[in-house]
Amino acid sequence: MDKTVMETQKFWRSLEEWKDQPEAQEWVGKEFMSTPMAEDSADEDVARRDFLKLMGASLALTSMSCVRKPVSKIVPYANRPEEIEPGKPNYYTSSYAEGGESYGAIVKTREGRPIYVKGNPDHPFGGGLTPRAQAHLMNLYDPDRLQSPQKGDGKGGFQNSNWDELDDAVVAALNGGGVRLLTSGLASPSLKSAVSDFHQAFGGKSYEWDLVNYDNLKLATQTCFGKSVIPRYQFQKARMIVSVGADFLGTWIQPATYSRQFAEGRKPNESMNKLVVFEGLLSLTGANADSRIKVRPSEYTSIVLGLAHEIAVKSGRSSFNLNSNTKNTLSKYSDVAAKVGMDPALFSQIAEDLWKNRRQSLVVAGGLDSSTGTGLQIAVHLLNEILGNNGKTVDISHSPIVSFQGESDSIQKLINDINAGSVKTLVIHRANPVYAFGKNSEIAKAIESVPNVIYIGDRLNETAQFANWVAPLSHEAESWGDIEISEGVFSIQQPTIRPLYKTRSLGSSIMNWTYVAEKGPGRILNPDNWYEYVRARWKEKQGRWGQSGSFEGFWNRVLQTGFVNSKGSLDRAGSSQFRTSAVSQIRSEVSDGLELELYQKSGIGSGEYANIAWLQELPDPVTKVTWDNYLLVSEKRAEELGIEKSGQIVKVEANGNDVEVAALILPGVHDDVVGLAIGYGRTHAGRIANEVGVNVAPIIAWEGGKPSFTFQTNVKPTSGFNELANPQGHHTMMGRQLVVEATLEQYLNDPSANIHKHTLFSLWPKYEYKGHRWAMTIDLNKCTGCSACVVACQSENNIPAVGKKYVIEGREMHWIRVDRYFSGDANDPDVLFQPMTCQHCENASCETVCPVAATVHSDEGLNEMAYNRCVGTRYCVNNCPYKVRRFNWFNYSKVAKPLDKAFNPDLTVRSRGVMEKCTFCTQRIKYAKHEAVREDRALKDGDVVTACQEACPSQAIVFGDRNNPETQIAKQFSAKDSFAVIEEYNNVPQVRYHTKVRNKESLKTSSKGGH
Amino acid sequence: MSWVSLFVLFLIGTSSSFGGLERIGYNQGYQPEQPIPFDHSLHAGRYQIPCLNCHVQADKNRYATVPSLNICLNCHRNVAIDKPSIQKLTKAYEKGYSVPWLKVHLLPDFVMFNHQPHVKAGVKCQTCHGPVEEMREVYQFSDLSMGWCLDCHRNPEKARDLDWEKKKELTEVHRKAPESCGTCHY
Repeated sequence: MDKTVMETQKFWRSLEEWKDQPEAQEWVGKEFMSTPMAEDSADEDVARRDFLKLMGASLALTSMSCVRKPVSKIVPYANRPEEIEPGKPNYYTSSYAEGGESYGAIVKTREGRPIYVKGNPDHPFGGGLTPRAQAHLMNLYDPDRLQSPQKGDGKGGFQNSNWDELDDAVVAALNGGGVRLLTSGLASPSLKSAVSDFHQAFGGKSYEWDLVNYDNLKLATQTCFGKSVIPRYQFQKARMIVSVGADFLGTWIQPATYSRQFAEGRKPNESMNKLVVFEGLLSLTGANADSRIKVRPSEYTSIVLGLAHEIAVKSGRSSFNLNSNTKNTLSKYSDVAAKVGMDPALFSQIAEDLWKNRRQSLVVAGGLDSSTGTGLQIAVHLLNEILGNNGKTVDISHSPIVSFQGESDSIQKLINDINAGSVKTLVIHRANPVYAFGKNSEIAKAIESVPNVIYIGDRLNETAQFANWVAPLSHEAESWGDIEISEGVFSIQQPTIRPLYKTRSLGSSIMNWTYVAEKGPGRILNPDNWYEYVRARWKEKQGRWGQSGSFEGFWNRVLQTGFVNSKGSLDRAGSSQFRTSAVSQIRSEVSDGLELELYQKSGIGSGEYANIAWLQELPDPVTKVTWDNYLLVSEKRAEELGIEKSGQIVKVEANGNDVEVAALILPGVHDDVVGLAIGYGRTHAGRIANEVGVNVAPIIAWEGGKPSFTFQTNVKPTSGFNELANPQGHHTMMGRQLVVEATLEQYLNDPSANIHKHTLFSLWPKYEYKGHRWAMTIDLNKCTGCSACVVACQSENNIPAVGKKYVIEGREMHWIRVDRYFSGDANDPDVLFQPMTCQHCENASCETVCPVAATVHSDEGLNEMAYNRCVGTRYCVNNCPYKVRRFNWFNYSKVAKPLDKAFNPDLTVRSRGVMEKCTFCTQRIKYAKHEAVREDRALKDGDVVTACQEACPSQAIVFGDRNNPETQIAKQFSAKDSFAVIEEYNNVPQVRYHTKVRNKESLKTSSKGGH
Repeated sequence: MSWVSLFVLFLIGTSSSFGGLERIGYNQGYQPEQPIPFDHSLHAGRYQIPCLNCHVQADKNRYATVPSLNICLNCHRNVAIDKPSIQKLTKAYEKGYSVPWLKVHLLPDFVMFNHQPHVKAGVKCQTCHGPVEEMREVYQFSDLSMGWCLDCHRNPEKARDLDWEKKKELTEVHRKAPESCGTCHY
């Protein structure tokens, strides 16, 4: 053990804790003091004491009657579908796409209801899902969804209508000419052809637009390589990764795919990858960096060119011939390190490391689009070309990403069309520009001036307010579709339920309109329905994709696997000739004021799924705040601006407008950069999302007809205050050794480096586990903190969201949380994530204090919780050193219909007054055992997969039977680098963690010291 | 002791004299009138149709399942089609309606019972459901209390059908009848 590290390294969870401020102590003191008498908005009108009286009465009544109440009925199927066995789940391959971010998915259904989504492990983009991809299923059951066509007055007033009326009116409008179609990016080839059929029938043209398009990157690739695509990055092959402001583990392009690839290269051995991040805010990627350097967003381009200069000009090395023009351009960036205020030696070292790992390094850059973003991406292409990465870790020609079809300038083009008076009928599908740019924006005014506005969407959102007709859109789980994620890789989107309401997919609506109008090509007029249309498109392409055999056979194969790959191995990467002329288009303007970087949060993203409570309550991976967006600001800058503490409302002025939002002081943010998340402040999303957070729309910059998400700003504190719901201060574990980190060198010398070992003994003999013995390990080195496990657990285990007010009171219900720790100094800390769930301790302290023996240990090592036995004393949560038990303060199970349809019927939906916590997905253990019995075999490794394990994009979680020496868990559990949290307490947890390994020289130490 | 608890005690006292129930609140003997007077003693008794013929999932699933109407009609397209009940059934099937049977064996929501492991371990249907082949109308035979469950789980041999065991090599997995709370409560 490295003693010096132990003595000086201190982990802290919040600024208050770091500074030993009284707030942190205060919370610890009152954590268990909350009382039910403090409830002032219980959603039932029966007060607690009356409730007890009623209990007595109803007990009496039930005992008195001989007739059972309530009488239950069993209503069998009239004709049971062959594939449905009541009580058994069915799984269907499908895909998830939001804008362009797409994954192959598997949807679990029970008795015909989709209830859970996981990544399709065989899919090239399906290894894991993001929290949003997992939660999007809840949109299907959203009580605020549109249930029938609506007739609008164009000013936000609506009345129910029906499809016949709508179709007649829409077709009449379409027949009048002057048609424009604004869709969200169409990654679906079938929808694309349907849209072209639509235009053949009614004329006009269409624009595709999403708030997050990665237009900069597409344009740069077009300029450099002649192909408007997003490169397919292969992080698993890269040993040296430099990210300049790209949050590829959290929100950038395909984060779940990248997380898996990144984790693959993260194994702590000689070839472990190294991640260097330059950024202004503290992103999830930055939090995982081995080396993180704070720079301003306006310096991103010069950082990349500075690195190119170090390698190509200063050291004169390059994988391709640089012409003198390029060299001249680069020579302007000879002193970048000094300009951005970083150590020039470190900068040279990074360049050196990149060159040393040429052809197996990777440089990525850029967050949301900005006015200088295209130049930045060209610079990145140049640097990757110099390093010889293009065609190795960067795939540009073999099978690049093509799912991001939206274009940023679409909105401006549409405004121009409308202003020119050439638009009579505007059909908008899914896109929500009025929210994105504000109700006073040009686009809002333009849409308002169009005579006929038809909105196709799942709710009466901000843009739909202007519609004359709203055609309700089916959820993805209700409609057929397909997605081309990367070139030549086609995924199928299968419906798993009939439309719950009178809704249609876009394709279906187009088919109906062409049919009613009797216009358009035969291929759209002839098929009976949208499903036939999709099948016909796939049939056309079967040969082209090199798929032999009958179409039926091919189609069934596709439905089974979920995708077709017509490109061969996706390990390959291709590139084409780099056009050096592109370099002249690089613009780099370093500013010196305060810069605002708008960013996406991994839960809410661009805000389309904001009405899903799970996402609102998902703690942001880095800040841990729920139910809000906020202005990220560094401690020093906050002091200068006069911001006293987190939560104080500040006025953010930019581009002639301002918004007022709470500030959040976050360690690790650049002093000249502030950050604000998009996707909040919805006004017409539904009861959950409305008025949560602040919409940034008014201050978005416009340049050259495109929005830019990074710009100069002024921040002024106000006297207002908005308490942020940050659960990270809750469930504190009182400063015991919780997390262990080591440098790669320490780890290679001794995998158990820095693990503080304790000599433990017990007075009692150990229990002998004869059968299974369930255990889990979590690899902190692989865990990126993305929080996909939190949402997966919520979905699997019927865990409610409690709302902002109760998160503030510490009543959040998540069974698994991801703790965030900082180490080092507050202005430049290292970050460490630790998923924390019930540790299923062998000597569990919760079990001994339960007065009614509601929580006991099973002979398979599970800490079990019998809900029906629990009387709610909460002694157990008081006594749990890991703070993983959750109490149901309210009857969360009484959800609005049809949200109850999303419940997993395999386990109890807990009611008020009951303690609950992670069960190691005991229903899945049961299911696997029963399956084994059905097949007359013993359980084997991999039969039981917990929800968190299944969801983890980086495969950090291993679960299984540690009594069987052949299992992966048995090996991992006793590995040298594994440690138990608060081992000295001798609780003997059955969850162990692996050391976090950092690929750097030394660990951050704190000036505070002490363990 | 408040008047409420006294009142409760009084009610408990009186209710135990009602209907001759052995234990309160367990519904033993519950025998509701079904929408169609299906006769188990005829089907399972006289005609010796095996249980699994209609309750098709009992050996492979959590629910034994009340048969869907198409299973009834496998026979009743031709058999006894003159009976009014069968005509009612056929009509419902043809219109796509179902029959709302009244649930006889009702466990609380917090109990997760699974038929499959019990059937697979060789527990006869009659062990829990009683002599169904003699019932004109099904009633609840066992009290289905936790004590009753544990009675067998503690002595699994007691519940096993020995003929079945002879037929089948039971593995350790099949034999085990766990007793921990989490077996049924999760």
